[in-house]
Amino acid sequence: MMMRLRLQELVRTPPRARRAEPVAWALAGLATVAGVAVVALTLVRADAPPGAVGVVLGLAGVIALAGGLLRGAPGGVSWATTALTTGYVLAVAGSENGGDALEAPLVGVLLVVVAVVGTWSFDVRRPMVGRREVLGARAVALVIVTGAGAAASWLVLSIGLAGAARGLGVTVAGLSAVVMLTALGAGRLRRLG
Amino acid sequence: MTATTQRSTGRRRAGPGLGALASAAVIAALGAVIGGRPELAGLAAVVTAPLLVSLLSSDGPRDLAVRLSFDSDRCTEGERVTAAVDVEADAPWSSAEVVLRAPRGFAAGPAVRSLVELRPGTSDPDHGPGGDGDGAPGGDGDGGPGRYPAAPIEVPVGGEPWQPVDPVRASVEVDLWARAWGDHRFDAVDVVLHDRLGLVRLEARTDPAARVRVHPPVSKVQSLLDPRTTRLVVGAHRSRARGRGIELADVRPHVTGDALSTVNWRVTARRGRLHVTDRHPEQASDVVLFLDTFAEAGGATDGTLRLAVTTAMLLAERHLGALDRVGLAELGGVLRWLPMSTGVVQLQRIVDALLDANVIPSGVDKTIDVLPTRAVPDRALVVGLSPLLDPRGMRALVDLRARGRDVVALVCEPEAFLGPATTPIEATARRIWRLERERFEVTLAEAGIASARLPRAGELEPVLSGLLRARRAVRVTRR
Repeated sequence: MMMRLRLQELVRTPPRARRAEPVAWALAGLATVAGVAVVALTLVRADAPPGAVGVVLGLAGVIALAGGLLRGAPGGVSWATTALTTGYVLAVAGSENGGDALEAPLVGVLLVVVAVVGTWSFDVRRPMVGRREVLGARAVALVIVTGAGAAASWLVLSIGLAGAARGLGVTVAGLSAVVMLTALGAGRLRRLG
Repeated sequence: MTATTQRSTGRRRAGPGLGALASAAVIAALGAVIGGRPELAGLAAVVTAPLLVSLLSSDGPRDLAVRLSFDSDRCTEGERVTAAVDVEADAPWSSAEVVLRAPRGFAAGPAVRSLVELRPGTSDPDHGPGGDGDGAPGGDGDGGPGRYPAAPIEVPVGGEPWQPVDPVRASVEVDLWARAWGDHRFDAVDVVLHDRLGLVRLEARTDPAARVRVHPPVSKVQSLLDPRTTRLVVGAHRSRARGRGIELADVRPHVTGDALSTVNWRVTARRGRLHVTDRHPEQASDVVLFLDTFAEAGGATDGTLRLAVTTAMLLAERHLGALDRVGLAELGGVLRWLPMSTGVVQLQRIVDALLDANVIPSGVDKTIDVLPTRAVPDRALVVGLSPLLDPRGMRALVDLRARGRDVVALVCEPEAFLGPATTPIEATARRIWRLERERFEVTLAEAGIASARLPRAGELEPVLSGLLRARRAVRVTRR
């Protein structure tokens, strides 16, 4: 007989779906903290009127970021990253004391955290199985990529800002760019067959 | 285990993070050039690194295969069914977000949306998920990637034949609880593949067209309805004819041609003349289950249609077990019928057809004229299962009786599925409605149709006994 008979007491009820996702909120918090750190570094550099504008832009970016993360609007991350970057660039470019902004690669890392980790928080907003493994793998990849980029950036900046070696730094940076573009083009051509 | 596989080509989309990084890189580079600050070039380089990695790693083939399988294609209400979604894509996607769109009859557990890592699959040219629709699991059953036989290495479109790309695959298991009976179709599985950094997405929707049939829990019934006419096939109904059987019909004097084995020796000895015993043979009959699906009371999980379907399943099983031929006719928004037949296969057909029964609102004045003759043969017992909510359903039964069919009616009590009347107007309307339904029942009785009420809960056995008694009381005339 094809119909399986079941007693009423064997009937099971589905578990309740979880509502809150602490991982998503932790990621959102991390992105927001990174945004606040960018504003703080902007504030350090803001010694001229453009810098003050940059700080205001940065604060607006943090508010946009927090609002976007709270309301689940991914556009908030994009606008926040743009505003934070613009604010810092204004502060550095308009700085009057002329000091070297060696914290720039660190700001870059923080901006990457804002953009990438903020995006991840949307991915894991709903209950999902297996998110820890995926997030772990993503975090490792992000640390490697961003770390490599930051290290290279610091190296080039250190060489480039070292007075006499400025020409050498520019050369290394230019060569790196040429190698990268050549590799990109070659890979593209190979895919196209 | 049932499985369906669909192949799809996804649409590549940039996530919000990618646009943010791109704008940051451009702004920083412009700041470096315009402001003459090499530090900002360093910032741009840091931001550009993940951007480039994401763009390069996601610049691959966009084909993916999604396989949806269930541990069972049938279950009972309240039971759990485990669905497995296997995603296979060509490199280099890193993780897959799987969203299984479950039909309304299912309550999903927390795992209906899953984010899983895609891992390289192993090659096995003898087995593949490729669309045969009936694959069996061949792995160790640990629920992880590689649980199913791997697909052969596939060459992506535009790729070089001597450099095949290894597929990456992932498995997701989803627990689903069956809430409502019926034939449920799973129409969509959404898959979003992410690159390593989660910045670029490949979105695809597949239509696996898988189905799971959920049975209402049913019990057993012993009683058989008694058809007026039987077939010349051995069965379980006492025939009105005389012949070889078990039940005594008469003792009469012997006439030429009577078999010696039928001689009743006691009566012969007492009367001094040969007497023989006549018996009623046990024969099979024809039964047509007539489902009125014009209207129903109650919801999808518990209503008059569910009650009718459950009762029809019980009657079909019982009569098919008694070697009767059983058919099904459904008259309502849609017209469907199943010709009569016997055996387990017919039971399977009837159950599947009943699980697919649905009330579809229709204003068309349908009569039994739309039913083909072979759907309701002359000598069949027609068992009407109706809530008597729509006069068209009642009229169909009366028309069948008027055309000489042997008809009984099991009335699914709709009032039990309604809440109590809350206002005086509602109470008055309820009384009028009750009177109208009683008039329907009187009409049935006047037409010579015995009827019994099916309660919402309770055993079917006393209902059938009541129906048999009512059937004896109703004067039957064959027109």
